Amino acid sequence: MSTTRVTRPQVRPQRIHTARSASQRGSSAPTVQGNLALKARTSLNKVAEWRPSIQVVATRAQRKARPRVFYAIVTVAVVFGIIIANLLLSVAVASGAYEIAGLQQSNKELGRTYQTMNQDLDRLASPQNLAANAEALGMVNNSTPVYLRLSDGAVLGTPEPASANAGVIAGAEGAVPNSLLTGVSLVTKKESEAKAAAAKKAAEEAAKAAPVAETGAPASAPAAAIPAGPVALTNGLPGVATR
Amino acid sequence: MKKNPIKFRTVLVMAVVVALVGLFVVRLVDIQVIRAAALTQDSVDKRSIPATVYSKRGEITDKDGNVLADSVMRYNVTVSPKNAKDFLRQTDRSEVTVTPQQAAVEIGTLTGQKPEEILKVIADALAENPKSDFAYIKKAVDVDTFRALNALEIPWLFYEQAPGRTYPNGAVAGNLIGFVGSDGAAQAGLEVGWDACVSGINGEEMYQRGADGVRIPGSTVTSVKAQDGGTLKLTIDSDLQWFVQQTLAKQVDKFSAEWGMAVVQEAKTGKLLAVADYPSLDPNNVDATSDENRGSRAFMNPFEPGSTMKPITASMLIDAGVATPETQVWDPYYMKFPNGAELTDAKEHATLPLTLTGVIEQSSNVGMAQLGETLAAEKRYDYMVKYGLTSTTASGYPAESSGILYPWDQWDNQTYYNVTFGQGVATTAIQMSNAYQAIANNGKLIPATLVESCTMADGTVVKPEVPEATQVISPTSARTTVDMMENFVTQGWITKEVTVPGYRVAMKTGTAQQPNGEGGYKAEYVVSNMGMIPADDPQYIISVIIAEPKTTATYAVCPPVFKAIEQQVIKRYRIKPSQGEAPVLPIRF
Repeated sequence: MSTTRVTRPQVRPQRIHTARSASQRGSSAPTVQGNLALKARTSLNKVAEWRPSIQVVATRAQRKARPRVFYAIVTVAVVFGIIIANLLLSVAVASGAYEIAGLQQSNKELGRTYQTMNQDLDRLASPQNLAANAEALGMVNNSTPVYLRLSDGAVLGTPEPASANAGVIAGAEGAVPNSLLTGVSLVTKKESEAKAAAAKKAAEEAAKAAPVAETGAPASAPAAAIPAGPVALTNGLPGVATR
Repeated sequence: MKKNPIKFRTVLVMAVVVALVGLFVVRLVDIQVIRAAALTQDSVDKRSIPATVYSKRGEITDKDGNVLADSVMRYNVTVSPKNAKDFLRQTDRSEVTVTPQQAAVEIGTLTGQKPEEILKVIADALAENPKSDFAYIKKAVDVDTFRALNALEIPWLFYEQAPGRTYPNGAVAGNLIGFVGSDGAAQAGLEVGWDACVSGINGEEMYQRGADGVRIPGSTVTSVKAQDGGTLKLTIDSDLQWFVQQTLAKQVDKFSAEWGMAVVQEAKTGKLLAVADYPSLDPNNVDATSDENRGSRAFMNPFEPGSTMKPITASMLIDAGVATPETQVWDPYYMKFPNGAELTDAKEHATLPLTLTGVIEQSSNVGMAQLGETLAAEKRYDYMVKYGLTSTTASGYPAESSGILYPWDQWDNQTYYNVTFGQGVATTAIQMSNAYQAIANNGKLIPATLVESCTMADGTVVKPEVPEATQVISPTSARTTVDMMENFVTQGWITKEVTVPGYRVAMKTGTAQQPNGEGGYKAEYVVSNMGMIPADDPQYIISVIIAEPKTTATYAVCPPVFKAIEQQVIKRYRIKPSQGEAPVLPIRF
């Protein structure tokens, strides 16, 4: 008897399934079925070896129903995760904003420093400043070009010593003005900078007067050993002939 | 009957509720849907701060990349007059009250103003409008001053960016480069002529910031992208330019002359290596130079060149085949021509038997006029046009003059002869230099250029459009002309003045009268030296022009400058010593 009852679901699985699922949900299913199940279990205990396959099988609906909880947990966790991540991200972005602002500010400052340095360099590199310093150091322009041919030591051109007043600036300061150089002192004035203002002025005068007095001697020195007159230039200016 | 009032009230309440809800819905739709975009924009605008992203005006450099003009950021110092009151300053241990008077002293020492000036700015602004919130204290201070002012932490002092221009080499090529105004707009010189190259486009952006002033990331909206200007590269050699300017200035000052010009041009390329004008303009300090001296006379002011025109006339005669260097002419001091024109030479002398070379060597007006006449006026005019004496160059220098030369059929009897020796015609220094360039370059005229290239911010290189080179005279005619000019040096009085030992030079002097603007000529002269080195293979054209030197020996004014430039050019460009001897052409018969 019990056998037939137990096997009945296998005969009409669809209907029993619906009925069972209804009982699982605790709806108003007839109690008979519970009893039947109980009976079946007792009979199963009694004849364990005979019918090992009889047990409560999770129906498809049950299998479907169970993950819902899992999904809910996952969803909630993800939502919380997102909230937390969002929070952390915005904290990071906000602190990044300060970092960016700080870096931009320092970039700006460095740009300004670069600008002032570059301006300083450019004005110090101006021909006015270089020439003034060179002449203050006693250098003059030897305007007579002469070439020395390395292959035979011949002198091309007619060497002439530079005259003491060959300075290009001498006597014409400020003819090619550069107002950026206002306040830039000559290298020769450096030593006297520490001194008092009056002493400084005197040193300036001395520096200006210096080139005229000093220039003649060093420039004229090499003139002695050089043969006079131009040398014929047959094959252009030669390079070094290494042997 | 009893139920009716309740029902009525219910209906009434419901109706009111529905009406209210309807009202809210309408309003909601209005705000959220219909006006959504406009309102969002409004709110963004209120939260956003507009900012100008300044573009960089491009550099102007010389041929080697030395910066002649550069852009810098400067700062305008502004004040909020209504807030200019006492404030507390935190010092190490205590707080100090700083009055506006004290603050003005601190500001003044940094900006170079008197404290009264600063207080006056504030007082004036308040007198005009007691709620005044803005006034300038000082415009365009540099970074160092700005930093020092900022360190004072005066709460009513504000700053705005003001892009500025700086010229590190001062007056070196200043007359060529020109300058920009305080508003950043180009006002003179190449800054104007090549503004399209160097000017940039300022960008605009909006961003939002938090209560603490920090920019909110991702809130920046760029409406106009900033575009930097290009780099303008000149053909000028700044070191040579300085040397030429300095040497010229010395001589102009020595003879109390009105002004001077000097030009160095490369013979084989037409490039202008130095164009000096004196008085010079320092673009950093424009006010120090009077208005008429701010431009480049070499480009803008035509003058009557005088005898430096004679080699050009001689080259025409030779090229046209009507004369050779040996062509003979009797040269009296005074001559009246059949058409009524009268001419004299510069110095009284007995009638001389001269060749064409001798006419140049003696710089004889009467001789040149007689020989020049052998070529029809129309032909001479055509040659002068071909030599570029009526056209401007490709330099792009603004307000460049094309000289004054009337068409040949408008020449009067005097001009018919005068043009042969450079009177009755006005040219710029650049035009003359370019004509000599043609003679130096085997008769081929390459239009003078002042600008090498313009490199745009994106790296594209734009070359200026230069007209085709033209063959003005044949190479042999050009060579013969150079030989005659060399004989001017070797056989004349000027040998010692301009010869650099080891080098051959070909040149010609000029002493020209200038129109006085009333139909006559001034008593003072414009003296000039024009030539080329080395004469055996001309590489560089050198011109020196000095106006109205206060001396009777006007011939001695230019040669020292000419020679100094010669020597400098030889050294700077490593010119090899000349080959061979100068040809000797007969000057008399």
